[in-house]
Formats: sequence, C-alpha cells, structure tokens
Amino acid sequence: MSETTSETTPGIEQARGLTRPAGRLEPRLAALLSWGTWIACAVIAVGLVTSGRIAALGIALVIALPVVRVVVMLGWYVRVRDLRLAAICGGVLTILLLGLALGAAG
Amino acid sequence: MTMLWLFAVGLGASALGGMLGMAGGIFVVPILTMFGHVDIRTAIGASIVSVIACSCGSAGTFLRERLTNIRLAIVLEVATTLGALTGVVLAGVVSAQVLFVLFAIVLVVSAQQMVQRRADPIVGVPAAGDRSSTPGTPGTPGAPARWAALGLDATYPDRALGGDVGYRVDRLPLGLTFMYGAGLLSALLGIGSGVLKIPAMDSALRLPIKVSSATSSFMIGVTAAASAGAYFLRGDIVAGIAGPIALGSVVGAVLGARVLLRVSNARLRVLFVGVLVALAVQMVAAAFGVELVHGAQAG
Repeated sequence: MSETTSETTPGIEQARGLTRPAGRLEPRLAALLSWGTWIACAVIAVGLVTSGRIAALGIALVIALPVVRVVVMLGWYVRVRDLRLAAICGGVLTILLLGLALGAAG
Repeated sequence: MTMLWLFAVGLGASALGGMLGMAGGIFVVPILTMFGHVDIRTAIGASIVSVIACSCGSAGTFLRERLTNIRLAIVLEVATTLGALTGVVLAGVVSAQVLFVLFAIVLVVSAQQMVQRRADPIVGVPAAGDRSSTPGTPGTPGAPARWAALGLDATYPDRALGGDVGYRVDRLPLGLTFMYGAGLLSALLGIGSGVLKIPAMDSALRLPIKVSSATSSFMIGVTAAASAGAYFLRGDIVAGIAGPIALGSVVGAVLGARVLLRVSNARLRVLFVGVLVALAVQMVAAAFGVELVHGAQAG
C-alpha cells in the first residue's frame, strides 16, 4: 500500500518516507458504531420478547461495542506506525479490562 | 412496570437530553427512582447502558462530518476510564443517600450550565496548507513541545465559514483532570457526565463547541463501558429494565436529532432548568427519607 491516508499530512509523511494504508479511520469507526448499535438493539428487542438471556446478550454487545472501537483504533495506529497513539490505545484497553476484572471479582 | 413504560422513559429522556447536549441518563435515573420505584443502583445500571447505546448510535454522524477529534478522544479516555474505574470501586462503599445528594448537585450544576449559554472559545487558527483536514498532524508548528508529538491540533469543516477552521488543544493536563472527575461521576451516577466534560472541553482545552460536542459524545461510550462491564458482571444490570430503556434511548437519540433540534429551544431551556431543579429537590428529599413523590427513598 502506498497511498497516503488523509488522517495525516501528506508532506510530512513523504518527508519521513512512511507509507500508510489507504482510507481514513473515521468512516470505519462510524460504520462499526452505527451497525454495532443497531445489531445490539435488534438482539435486545428479540430477547425482550423471547428470552432474558438473549436480552442480556444484547446488553453485553452494547457494552462491548466501545471496547471493540478501542481495539480497532489500536490496530489502526499500529498499522500506520503511530506508536504513541497505539500505546495510549493499549493503556485505555488495559483499564477497560481491569474494570471487567473488578466486576468479575465481585 | 411495563416494557412500554420503560421504553418511553428511555425515548423521552434521550430525545430531550440530546436536544440540550446532555445524555439522557440525567433524566433516566431520577424518573426510574421516583416514578418507577426502582432501586437507585439498578437505575444507575440501566442508565449506563442507555448512555453507551446513545453515544455509539450518534457518534457516526459526527465522525463522518469530521467534527470528532479521535486522537484527542483516546488521550482523554485514559483519564475518563481511570476515573470510571475509581467510581466502580467507590460505588460499592458509597451509600444510596450520598448518591441521591451527589445526583442532586449534578442536576443543579447542569441547570446552571443550561442557563449560561456556551460560547465558542478563541478559535479560528487558519487552516494552513501543510495541516491536515482531519485530526492527526504530528508535530504541529506552534504547539507546546510536550504535547505536539501527539498531534492533537486539528481542523474541522465549518459550513458557515465555507471552509476548514483550525484549532489548537490547550492545557491538556487541566483537561485530563476534569476528565478524571467526569469518569468518576459517570460510573457513580450512570450519566454521561457532561456537567464536567463541557467545562473541560470549553474552558480547559478551549475547543470549538462543535468539536467538543462531537468528541465528548464519542468518548462517552468508552467511559461508560469501563464501569458498565463491571456492573454487568456483578449482576447490577437487570436486562428486563436496561433493555427497554436502551432501545428507547437509541430511538430517542435519532428522533431528538431529527425533530427536536428544529424547535426553538429558548423557552424549552427555561422549562428544563425548572425540571432539573425540581428533580434535584426531590433527590435531596429522597436522600433524607422524605417522599415528595411516592417511591423515591434512599435505601
């Protein structure tokens, strides 16, 4: 891939000799969050008229969606070799997982 | 309590809150506790799920319009998620009485913020030719050296001005401090905590209103997920209550954006200030065991 992403300045990228994957991160995140929300809502709706477990699964999907968003951002910044932002994404992900561990511990 | 009633609560709270730049959670928790006789911790669990659903559901529009500064968002999320984690720990030891009083304070401060209209801070740095049209220009000239490497300064499209407008992110440590508090409040009260995010974005970071609203909305989901995951695994989130509220909130967010923004909100703003103050009075009364409306008591 040699196309420069519009998320960074082409001149700076060329000067650094870096190449970036095509496209931008924002539309990908937009699609993930929009579709993810509607899918999770559909699962909740089905669960409310059929089974509480399915409704709980839908709620788990809602809660997981922002976590997946951070994972996607982490992957993107690793790909474009923006290691500072990748490390920050990793930090946020770690805190989110700590929250889950706290909940699991009761 | 019927599913339809819960759905209506989520829809109404989300639509009305969204119109004024607030998450619906600030209405969901008082309504559930006062009119639904729901325990405040269960109400907080239901509210936090609806807050995530609204944030994720509305983020797409702002992202496509390039109003969201995603680099700044992920940096600030370090502080908001840490705050939320602290809130999860404190939630187990803070009494319901304290939660009612804290909620009342947040309601009053939110009402005050609603009265004081937000004004755009100093913006208008010309979008120079070598700056990107979206966030992410590492090493922006003129930015403080410590933060320049993060590439947080950016531009956003302003249709009124007919082009991109540049802005600079100032006072990041102060913004991070506010954001830690916002995360803490979000986890403790099940709200989007705009009450702290708005001053953080406007006053501390000095972002344009459009950018701060979009970036704040984008961040709310991750902030809330930090505590919601813990509450879910603890069994504090009741699917039969949180499910209909979340569905109503998503529909309400869509309706709110499409319909309510067309309404002149000067009078509505006054009405909501009255509602927020009335809810605050009721929450304080509930904290001290006085039932102004049947059903709200600090357990």
